Amino acid sequence: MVLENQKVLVWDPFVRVFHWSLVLFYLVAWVSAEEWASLHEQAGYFILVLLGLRIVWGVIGTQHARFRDFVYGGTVTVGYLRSLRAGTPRHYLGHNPAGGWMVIALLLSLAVAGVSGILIGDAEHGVWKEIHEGSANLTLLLVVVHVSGVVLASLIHGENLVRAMLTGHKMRRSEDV
Amino acid sequence: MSEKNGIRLSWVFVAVAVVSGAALLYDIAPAGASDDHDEARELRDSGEVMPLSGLLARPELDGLRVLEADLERKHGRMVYELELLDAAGRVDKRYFDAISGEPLGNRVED
Repeated sequence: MVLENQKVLVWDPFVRVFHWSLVLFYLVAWVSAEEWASLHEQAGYFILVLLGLRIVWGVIGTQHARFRDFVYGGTVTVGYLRSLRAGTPRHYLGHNPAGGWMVIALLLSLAVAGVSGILIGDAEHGVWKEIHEGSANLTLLLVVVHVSGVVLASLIHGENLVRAMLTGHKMRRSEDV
Repeated sequence: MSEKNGIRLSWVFVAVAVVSGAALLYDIAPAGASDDHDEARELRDSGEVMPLSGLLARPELDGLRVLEADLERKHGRMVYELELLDAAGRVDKRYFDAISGEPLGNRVED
């Protein structure tokens, strides 16, 4: 039997450390970009290490950390977005379908930013620099959409998703997916 | 994998992240080391880099106003970064090898 309003650990320690480290080091990389090359580069390498660990964790990790748990097909995702527009989305204990695809988009965008940053090498111009700046800007755009989604979902469901990503805990509901 | 083991392994991933983060951030050059005045003066006095006045005498800088000049270490190489204003009001960043004075390239900022 699933108990109503049972407090469960949804985000394991690594998911949380990964999330907030990414926030911090993306910020560090952004701010240091023109000012402090060695910090910018090391922050970039660290982000790539974090991404690598997260991808492995997405395969072998705890239930809600796994890609299998939160990457939904097109039909489910479109259906979710429609229900969101109608103001009646279902409550997911882990990532909802839109949030799941946001995770994938952020991982990809940051991976492209990291790898293209390495490939710039000594060049002051060039295609890798364009890709690097483009993907860094795309990541910022995704972050804005991500944070908006978090705020929206928190309001609709009356739960604090930011706190959930800090403590790891969410309240399970009987109607949860 | 039981939930308990999952959380345990999760902490292992945290540890790996922390250790690799610490290792990567350990040998960062301190802030401003790349444009630190003392280091710049030392390098100039020791004759390792050409003085800024020598660089500014280069013919390609004629008619340009220098807004900012920085001596930086970029990818292990000492580089002068000059921010220049031309007669048309355009701001242009140009890089010069700090040892030879050779131009390295530029980036238009407008």
